[in-house]
Amino acid sequence: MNILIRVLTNGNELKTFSALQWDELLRFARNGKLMATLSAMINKLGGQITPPKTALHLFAGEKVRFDYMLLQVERELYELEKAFKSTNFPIILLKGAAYIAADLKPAAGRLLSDIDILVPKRHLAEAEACLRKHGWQSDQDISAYDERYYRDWMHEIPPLRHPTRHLEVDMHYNLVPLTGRIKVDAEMLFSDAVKLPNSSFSVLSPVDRLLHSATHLLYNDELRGGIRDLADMRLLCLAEAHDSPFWKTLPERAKELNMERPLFYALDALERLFAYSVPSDAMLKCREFAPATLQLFIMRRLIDRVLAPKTVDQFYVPVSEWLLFVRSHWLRMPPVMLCKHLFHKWRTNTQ
Amino acid sequence: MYSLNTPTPIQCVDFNTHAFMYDRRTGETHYLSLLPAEILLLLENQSRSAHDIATIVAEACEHPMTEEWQTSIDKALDGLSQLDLIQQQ
Amino acid sequence: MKIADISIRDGIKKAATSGLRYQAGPFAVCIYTRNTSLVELILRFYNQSTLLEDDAVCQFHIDVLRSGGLRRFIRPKAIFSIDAIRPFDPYPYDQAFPMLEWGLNWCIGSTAHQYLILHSAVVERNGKALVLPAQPGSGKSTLCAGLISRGWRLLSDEFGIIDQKTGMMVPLPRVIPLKNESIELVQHYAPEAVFGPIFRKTRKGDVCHMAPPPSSLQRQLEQAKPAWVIFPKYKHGQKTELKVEDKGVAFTRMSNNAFNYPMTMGRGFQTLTGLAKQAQCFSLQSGDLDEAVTLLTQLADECET
Repeated sequence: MNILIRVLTNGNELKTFSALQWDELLRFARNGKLMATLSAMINKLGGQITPPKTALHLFAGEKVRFDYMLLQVERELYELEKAFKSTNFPIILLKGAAYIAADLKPAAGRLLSDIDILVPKRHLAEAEACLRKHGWQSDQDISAYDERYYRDWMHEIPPLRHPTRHLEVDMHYNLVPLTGRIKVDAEMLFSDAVKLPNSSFSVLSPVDRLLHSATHLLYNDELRGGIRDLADMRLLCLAEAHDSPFWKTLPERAKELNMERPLFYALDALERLFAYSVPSDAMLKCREFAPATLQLFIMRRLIDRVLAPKTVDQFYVPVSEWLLFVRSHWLRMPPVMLCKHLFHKWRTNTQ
Repeated sequence: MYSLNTPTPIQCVDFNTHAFMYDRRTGETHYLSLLPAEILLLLENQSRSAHDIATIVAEACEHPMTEEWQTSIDKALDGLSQLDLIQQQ
Repeated sequence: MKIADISIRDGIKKAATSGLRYQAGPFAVCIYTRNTSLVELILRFYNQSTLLEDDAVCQFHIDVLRSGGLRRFIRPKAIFSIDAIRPFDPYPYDQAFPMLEWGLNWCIGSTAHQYLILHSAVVERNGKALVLPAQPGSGKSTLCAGLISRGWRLLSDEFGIIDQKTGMMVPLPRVIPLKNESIELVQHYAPEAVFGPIFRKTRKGDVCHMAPPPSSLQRQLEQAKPAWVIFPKYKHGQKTELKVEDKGVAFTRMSNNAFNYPMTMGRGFQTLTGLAKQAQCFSLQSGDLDEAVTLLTQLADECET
């Protein structure tokens, strides 16, 4: 387990940390964009942990950044509520914004730079017009190609921003790109969504939330969400009791939404990297979603290397053709061909 | 009836001829002349009508309660609404 | 222990292994590099800074790497990396030192938000700090270099770091980067000062660094109360004049000048309005370095009497 994951899993380890370990931890926290989360976690542990002065100094700066981000997000949500007041279609907040609005565990220390919302496809034009009417604009420099890329292929309109503010609003009508393997019926997400009290916004159901997080992480080039997304998922899982109906619904729902594979990889990663125990019945069912042995082997190596480097030197994993192959091609190449190709590449890279 | 749309206590610092106010809800810093700044402080603990505001400020400034005075107050209230610092119920 | 207490060879060894760790104002910095001329410059300029232990916990772990690939010998590049994050494009390998300086500025400016950070020079005389907010064409660095060569203590050339708990200015004395015409001007004005090599054709033109005076480095943990905020403007041939600045205007100018004013929120508002109220605020116009330095020194000394 790398040092950061060890600490996130069990904060008490910090009680006996040496200076060198603290030094290494701070590096991993910065690299994994988890400084604010680490800081929030240590704060919660109160006087039991005495971080070195330099660490406290770093955390103090991060706290200010986090508080400011919170202010910006709340302001943007307030303005969005105002703008959408006259509409009556459901609007789902996704990811970071959802964690904040619904006061979920992953919100603590989680920085975000944009707000993602999901609207039904048939209301997309109305939603976009509504925001534009209230002053939101798209980036002036966007090319026609990029416009098309967003609208037709990425399941979202180009990001919108209000000129007097900084946060971008990304409006989606589905969760995954059209050209990929996974086809999701967005309507299903709306039927299970949970409305927030005193608000026009909803959030995804707890099960869908986890599935989205898994798909979002495993679905982009280079696993950009990184260890942070995996840490969020762990908190989402921990929020559910072992005997909760959540675990029974999870594998079924994954099948309904065609998100079995990302769910498997995510839970498998949580078990291997965070030593988290998924309730056995659920895990058993999810293991049926696993790919063929070779593909599994390769994906596990990729996930471990990118999300959980063991030493600081491993931060410098070249984001090379290798990774890009795995990512973009996994989605498009026939599995057998891909595996053979990748296995060969992996062998040559590690020799 | 007007009420504040910004958290209390209000963060306002006066520099003789004008004031700066920090809106903790939006993170914006506003440059206000003294009249609107006074109005904000008046609304800090309770909502008030435009007429009440005009009367109280007139008394504090030893200014007669005229129609023109009310108009200036209304204008100031309008400005503050535009800045989203107050809202009307 | 000071940086001056170790040999160049040891310094180079540290940088190549456990990291060269030293105190830069309130920040503990760790530099990893095999670039020996870079290490030599650090050791030379910051010789009076505190050297930290090999296991000191640092805030910034900076790698200055040499680029790989086919060009590594013909046109090598220096890469600035902090925990594998590369905030900007590589520089020519021999510009590693200015790159490191700008990179460290970036690290501080983008993370230390518990401070309100102005884009300004800060110097101190008779226990009082003078804040000189920068603007294009202000000649801040030249003026700063001029002042410290006439006995003012250097707190910082680039950052006006305000400790929001105390309202005091936090020192971060580093090299003063002089550009283009300024280089000759200052070398002429302060011939006894220590200068580094001239880096030609960098992204900001020709750059030459003036070393922070040893006493400024030795006193880098001493904060100073700001007594004056003066907005400098350099214009060739201009008469040297100090004009009182309206405090409200000074506040507005500083809030625009600061690197992180919006981020500091209500506390920053309090700090900055407090500074505008408490300090004497002026704007300074000048076309002559010596006249400006004399005027400001007079202002500071008159305050004492």
